[in-house]
Amino acid sequence: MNIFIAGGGRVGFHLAQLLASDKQNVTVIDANPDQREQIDYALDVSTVVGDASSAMLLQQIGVAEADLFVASMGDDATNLIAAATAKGLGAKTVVARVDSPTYIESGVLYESILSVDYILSPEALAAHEIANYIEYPGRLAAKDFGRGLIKMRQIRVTKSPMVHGKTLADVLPPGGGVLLAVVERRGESFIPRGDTVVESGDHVTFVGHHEKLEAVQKRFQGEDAKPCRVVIMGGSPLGLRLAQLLENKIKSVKLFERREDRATALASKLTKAKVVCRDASMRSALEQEHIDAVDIFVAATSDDERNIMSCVLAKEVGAKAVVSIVHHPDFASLVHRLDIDLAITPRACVSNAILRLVHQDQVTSLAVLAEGRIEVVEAEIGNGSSLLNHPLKDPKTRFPREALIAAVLRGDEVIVPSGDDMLQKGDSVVLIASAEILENALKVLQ
Amino acid sequence: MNYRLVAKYLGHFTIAISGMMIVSVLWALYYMEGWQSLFDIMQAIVLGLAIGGLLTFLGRNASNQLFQREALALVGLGWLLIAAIGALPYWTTGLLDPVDAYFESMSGFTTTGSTVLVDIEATPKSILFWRSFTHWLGGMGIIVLFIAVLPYLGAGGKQLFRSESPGPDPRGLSPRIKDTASILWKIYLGLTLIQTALLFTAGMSLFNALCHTFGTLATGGFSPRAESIGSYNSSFIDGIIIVFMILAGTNFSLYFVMLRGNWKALFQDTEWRVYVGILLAATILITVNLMGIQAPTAPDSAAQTPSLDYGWMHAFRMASFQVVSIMTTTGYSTDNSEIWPLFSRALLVVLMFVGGCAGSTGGGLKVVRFIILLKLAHNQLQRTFRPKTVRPLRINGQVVGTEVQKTVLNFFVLYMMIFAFGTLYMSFLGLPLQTAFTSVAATLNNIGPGLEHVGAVENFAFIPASGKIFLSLCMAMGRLELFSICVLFIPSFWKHS
Repeated sequence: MNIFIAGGGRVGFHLAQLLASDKQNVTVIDANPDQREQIDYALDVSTVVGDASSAMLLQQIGVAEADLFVASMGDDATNLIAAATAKGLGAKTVVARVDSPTYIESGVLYESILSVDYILSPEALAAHEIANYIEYPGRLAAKDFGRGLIKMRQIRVTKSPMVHGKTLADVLPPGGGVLLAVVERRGESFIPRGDTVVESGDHVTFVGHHEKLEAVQKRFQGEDAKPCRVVIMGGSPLGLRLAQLLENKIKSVKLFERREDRATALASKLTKAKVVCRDASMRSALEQEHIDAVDIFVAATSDDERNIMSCVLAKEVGAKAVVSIVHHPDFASLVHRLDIDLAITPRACVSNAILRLVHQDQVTSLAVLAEGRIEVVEAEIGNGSSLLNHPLKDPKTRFPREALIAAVLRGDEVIVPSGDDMLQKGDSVVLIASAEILENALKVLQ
Repeated sequence: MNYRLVAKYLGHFTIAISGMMIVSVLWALYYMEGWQSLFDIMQAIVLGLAIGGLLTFLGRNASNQLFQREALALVGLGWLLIAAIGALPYWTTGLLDPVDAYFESMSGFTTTGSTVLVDIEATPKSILFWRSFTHWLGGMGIIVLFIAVLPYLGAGGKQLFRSESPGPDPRGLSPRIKDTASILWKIYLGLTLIQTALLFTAGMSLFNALCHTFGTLATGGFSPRAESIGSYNSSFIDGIIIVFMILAGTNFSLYFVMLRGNWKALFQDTEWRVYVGILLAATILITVNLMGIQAPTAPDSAAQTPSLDYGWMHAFRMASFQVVSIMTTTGYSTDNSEIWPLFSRALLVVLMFVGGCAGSTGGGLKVVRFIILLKLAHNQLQRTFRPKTVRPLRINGQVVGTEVQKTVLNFFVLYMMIFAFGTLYMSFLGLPLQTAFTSVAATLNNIGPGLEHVGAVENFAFIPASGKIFLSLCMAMGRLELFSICVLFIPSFWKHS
């Protein structure tokens, strides 16, 4: 895919990095020559210096042939102009990143007015992700395919004694109709084997029979009582948005904001959620507000250090689960060491959303896991495939060992195959593989 | 410095180069050169594989992060090492001693074409083929080839590409460096097929057609014939080689632009127009000079040379071939330029330094650098009487940044210093001035033959061993445009930050 990214700041850089490692053709436009130099040095992308909202420049660098144009510079208006210009010049899909809630909240469809395909706000996406996490604890992603007969669920393993510290063969014996496809642990992702030990905190992805999946999911997650008390620290746009998303769904939502003027303004925008004018990074404040009875504590100020430390404090005082907003992407992968249950980086939310757009375009792709490193695709068996005459584990099939056939759809029947099974004509399969070997695996299937 | 990583990649390079020696085995079989010859080449292959295996083993636990320093070291060391591996067949067959073998191999990979082989016709065909094949590999760049083929280089590949590709500011043709590398190699391969077919129809054997194509497109200059292209005495073959030498000295990215539909790209490019202009002007001057027209000189002057009295057709054919061959830094010859008038020879020496275009397989300083230097000088002159006017330096309508201008100036100064030092060093070894001067010019600019004792019909065999090693280094510096080799001699480059 031919992708242009305007603005090589944190979001632009992160996105360029993800897409380049995904073997896409990426061009980054940045007005700052030093920034350009840095990107040019670090990433396998081409770089251009200039103003990305200039139609002349965009035309010159061939934006007309772009499959995707992403405007991710510092200023919202510039992003919208650049994206609209690129669209006008012929880019297939354009995305503008905005920071101000103005462009997404007001109920007006800026997308259609400006003819920009997607307007993404990092804060709003992050708020949605946290709300999702609170509403469906443990569930990270859900997807159905094969006419709803096959389900895929990505969940977080809790400290349930039924699974923690046990091998996969023990907790999920083969033949149960459900397969554990991918494990993500401390930033790494891999396809597990029978002797892989499950740990609490792992993000795991199941694929399997629609009727059997739920029971397995429960076993890995323990009791998933919906939380009823949520505390949000920081009346930032993100905090406000989160409170708005949750106030009608959760019994008690409290929003802490230490500045009185802002607290008043916030209160006028919320109906059911309570605004408390206090600094939630003070131990006394947390204790007085009975934080030990709180199910989830979310730190959503604009200051990473305050967020992280307040989360640690809240956990210490008794909060059951803590979520921190971490703006610095390099910090986000470290916070699990501090017993913080979830760290959300708003900027990464944008790049992940765009990455999903990229993959959506490729027809076969069903889902992307682990920041695009692992893909889930649906494929039909070709007539000449070596998998028709040999069992899956047979090396003669030349099917890559690192790829996984998670489920087979045969008529109305769902089969979770083991190594001894063979495929038949007309089967369609759910294939899980890392981006590098996906092509190879698909070749064997054809 | 991440030594393990460098060792790992060097190991991979070595294994690949050793594997490619198989082509020599095939020719040895085809010409039935006997078991001994086969055994000797196999020995070189096994030795190469062993060295490569050892290096790979040393780097087995290396991480894959390739930074600028590692990339530079990899290119510099890589070329020095690859030349050593490529030298193995000359040595194991007993043809050359180690120093001579290294010189010959380096001359091959850097597409120089200076030779120490005294009797070319007596050399086994398998070795002659390897000699020409090294040209072909080195022409578009061994490392560029690796980038195109190896799956794992990523952004590090870009650093490697820039260190090996000629020109002041190498740019990719596609956002992904791997694509760029494979596009370049495909164009190169396409040109190779066309020229081989043409030479074959012109009457060369497949063996000679291939070897001469390798020598032409890489702007190398090794020929399996002692008298080079002159031995065919065919104006048709001369014509083919001239055209393809010019094509090889052209920026390959222009072909990419042409393939994408812009057929005028070549003629719109300032550098190419200047390049062809210089070729034409020099050809005309030398043609006239060869026809016997000279400036009147004092009767006893050393400058006076016997008039050649070539007819204009012959003069034009000889002049154009020699001019193109020297300026594109190929080094083929159809005439013994030693007997040419002094003016013609002097002009050839000047052309040696100009070289081909940036992004071509040619050596030398590159036409675009001369354009930048001339424009800088022109601006500087204007500044003396109009000090306040701001004049951007443009090429092809694009402004050349001060950063690039500075690099070009630095490059020129360093180049001239190395050249001056080299000439001094060679005369210290006892070479006469003209020989010393042109031996360094011919190797540093990757041309091949120089003048006098290293002229077109002579060879480099008589030069002392230390001189050959120095000239080998000159070739590597010329091919990699100085920096990748020069940094290897700076101690702080090797220290941990």
